[in-house]
Amino acid sequence: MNLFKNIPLAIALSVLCACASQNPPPRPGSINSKVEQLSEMSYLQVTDLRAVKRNHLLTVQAEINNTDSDNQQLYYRFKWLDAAGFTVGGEEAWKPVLVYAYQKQTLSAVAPSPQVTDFKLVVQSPDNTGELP
Amino acid sequence: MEKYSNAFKATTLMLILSGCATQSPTLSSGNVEYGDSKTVETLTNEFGSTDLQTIAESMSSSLLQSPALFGKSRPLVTVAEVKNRTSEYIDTKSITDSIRAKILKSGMVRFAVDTSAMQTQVDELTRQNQTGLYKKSKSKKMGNMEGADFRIEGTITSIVKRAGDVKDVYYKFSLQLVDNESGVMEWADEKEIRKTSNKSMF
Repeated sequence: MNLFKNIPLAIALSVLCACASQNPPPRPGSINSKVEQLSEMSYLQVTDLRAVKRNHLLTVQAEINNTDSDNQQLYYRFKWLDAAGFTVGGEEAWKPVLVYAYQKQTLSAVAPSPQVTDFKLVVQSPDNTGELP
Repeated sequence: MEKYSNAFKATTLMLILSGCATQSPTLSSGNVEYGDSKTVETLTNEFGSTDLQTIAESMSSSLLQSPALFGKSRPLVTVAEVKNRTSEYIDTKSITDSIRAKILKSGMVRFAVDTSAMQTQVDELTRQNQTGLYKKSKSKKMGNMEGADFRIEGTITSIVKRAGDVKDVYYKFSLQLVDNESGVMEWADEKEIRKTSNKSMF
């Protein structure tokens, strides 16, 4: 009987544990809020991200830093979003970029339409921790 | 009697479990599967889907920033030929079709029929005006086509080098925007791609 009494307590504890193990959500406006990593990259970091409207089109520039002594391969693409959060222009192709050892590589992209007001940078590197961020 | 009872229970359990299994709406031999059309393709170092997609994205985004295009209100553009000067077969029309689709989606530019589609355009106008099948008031008139303000033309070239087991391929895609009236080149850009393969196992 005592066993059944303890079930709600066990559920509450497991829920609390699950909450504790998750990373806090990124702050709005921070780089992490704009970057989606397909598992955490070991050696590559997005160190700078800036966006500006030029000729009615959102122009984005990202800086990727390679902290390793070996060259690193990066695959990336942008997701373009309108004011309501809907994707604009369909899916972009994944693009390969070679980032040399200790190099800072700049990626730049222009939104496909004037309707774009926001974006996400999706990145993946073959050398990663294998853990989802 | 107990034997039949156990068989009944087993059958019931199997029916319940098969009812729980999710049924995919597929008919497959098991050897074919759909993949991501946007994936980075490196099966060989010949011109591939990733090259076509990256060229189209790079050129369309650069072209949309051209002062000649955003300076005018929805200018009319046509696509001329992109010459293939590489050693391999590349469907350059497919590249320009992708570039045109991306630029059209922006809503900032209009496109006039290009030379490859002109015969279809003439045939349609002829059918509406000269077959006697259409109401005069409802048929589209001849002589109202609009001439394009600009034309897009370009070339794709390659340099291929081999050294032992290593093969290096360098592609350069060049595109230009030319004012049809003045002949002035208003915009030009290039996209370079390098692909290296190694046959060596060690």
